[in-house]
Amino acid sequence: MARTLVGTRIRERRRDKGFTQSALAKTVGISAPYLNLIEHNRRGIAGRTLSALADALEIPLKELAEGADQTLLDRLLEAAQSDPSVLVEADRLEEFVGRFPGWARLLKRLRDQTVSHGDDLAALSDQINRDPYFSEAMHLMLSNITAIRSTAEILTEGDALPETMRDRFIGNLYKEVLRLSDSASDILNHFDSQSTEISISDDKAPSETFWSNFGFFSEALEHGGEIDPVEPDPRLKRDLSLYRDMADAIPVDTLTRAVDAVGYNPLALAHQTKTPLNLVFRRLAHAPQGRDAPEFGLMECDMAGGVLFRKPLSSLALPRRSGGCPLWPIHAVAARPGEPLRSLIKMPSGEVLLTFSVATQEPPSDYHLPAQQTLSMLFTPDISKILERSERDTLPIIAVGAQCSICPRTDCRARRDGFILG
Amino acid sequence: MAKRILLVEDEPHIVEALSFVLMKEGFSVTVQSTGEGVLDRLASISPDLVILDYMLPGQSGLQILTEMRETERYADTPVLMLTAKGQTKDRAAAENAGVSRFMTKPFANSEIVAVAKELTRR
Repeated sequence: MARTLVGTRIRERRRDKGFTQSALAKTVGISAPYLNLIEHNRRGIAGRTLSALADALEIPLKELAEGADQTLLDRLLEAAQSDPSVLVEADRLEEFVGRFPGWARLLKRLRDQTVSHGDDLAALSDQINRDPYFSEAMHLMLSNITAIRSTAEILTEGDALPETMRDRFIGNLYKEVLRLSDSASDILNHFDSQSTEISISDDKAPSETFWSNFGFFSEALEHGGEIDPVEPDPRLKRDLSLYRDMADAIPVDTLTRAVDAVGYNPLALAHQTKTPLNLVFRRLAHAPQGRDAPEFGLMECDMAGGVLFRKPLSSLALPRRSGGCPLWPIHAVAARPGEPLRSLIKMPSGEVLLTFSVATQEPPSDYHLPAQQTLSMLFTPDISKILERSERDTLPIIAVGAQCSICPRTDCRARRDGFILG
Repeated sequence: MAKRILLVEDEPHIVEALSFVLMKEGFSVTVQSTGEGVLDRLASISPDLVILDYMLPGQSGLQILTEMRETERYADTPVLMLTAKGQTKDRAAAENAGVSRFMTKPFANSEIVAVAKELTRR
């Protein structure tokens, strides 16, 4: 998939930089016709030539080679799936992203907002349905309207009414109109007073916005400081509590020393720092970005599959609400609390990620209640920074996807939704 | 002889309007504005039709309907239930309790007259 687009990206980048084909070809030591073929994705490119082109175009090799981040592609595929009545050229998605990156980002943002607003509407609708005041007010208004309609029909039927009766019905009508007006104002005031309480979210949950803004790392929290979240959000409250526990258990300098001693193997770090594995996962996800440190993503779910925390990577888009691919190792640990798993997963793009998963339990709040279990999966594309080649070769590789709707593994037995392109 | 209707409704202006419309069509209308004491009222006037609001002070229309159907004398008395709550579950509850007809507010006068005529035809 990447090969078809590398040429498009080269062409776009060359145009952005203002180079002619022949000038760029000369710089990197290839012929202009050959570059033309590459740019039109008719020739594959890799190795030294690709590296030379990246240097000449002043773009990181990885970005030129891999192109748009997977999250963007996955979200756009979701958007394409959202309205089956519109025939979308989903097979040309990467080309679209490569040629119109701004439009692609805008479309993703609009898609995210649409999903988010749908959730908000559902929440508001739910709130209205459960709101006893609103229910009572609507009942009153419908009674007003019934009285007004019946009375108005009597007055407009044309039959001669005795004057006293007509005046009485007009009086009733006026009183009901006043009541209706008051009811409508009361309802408006009711929702107006609630408007500061109703949270209309951005395209991210409050906790996600919070961590994105902080880059998943906070000096203040590291040193025992407090951050007052702008929005009261249970997941963010839990995150902040876990962050404090994590920073207490493994301060950054402790992590640095532990990494120097045992490397980035999470289980070894847990032994070295005498810390529960799930906190080590958190520590690695909330570590300051070092030059040589592996890039870690993290997902935490509850037993109902609800996503409690997610730090996605460009190589693996994480679902917002569901547990993602049923074949992810995070689901395999549910039946074996405390027993960590280490697995390699292979995405449909061919990218292989190293994952570490564990289920941790907290005591229930009362007798005869089940323990609260949290499933965690730490993952990284930087496998060689953690495993020796020989160690890597002994691990099985599990073929997985991101989620069924955007997964091309059509023969997967775990599939629960159809593939958009299938 | 005029057909007798017991109108059980707590909104005075709806009562006035409906009473006027129904009496104009030849019905004899007796009004009861709360849910309490409806069975006693039934005994005294033996109506041909009961028009019953779903939500009433004292006792709900659904409770009254249930008591009527449990009383042999009123087990077959036609009941038209009026409600501002048009939800499926309320309709289902009324149907389970033995309502003859269910009408959602607001309605046209002609609709209620037509239903009243139909239900008192027997």
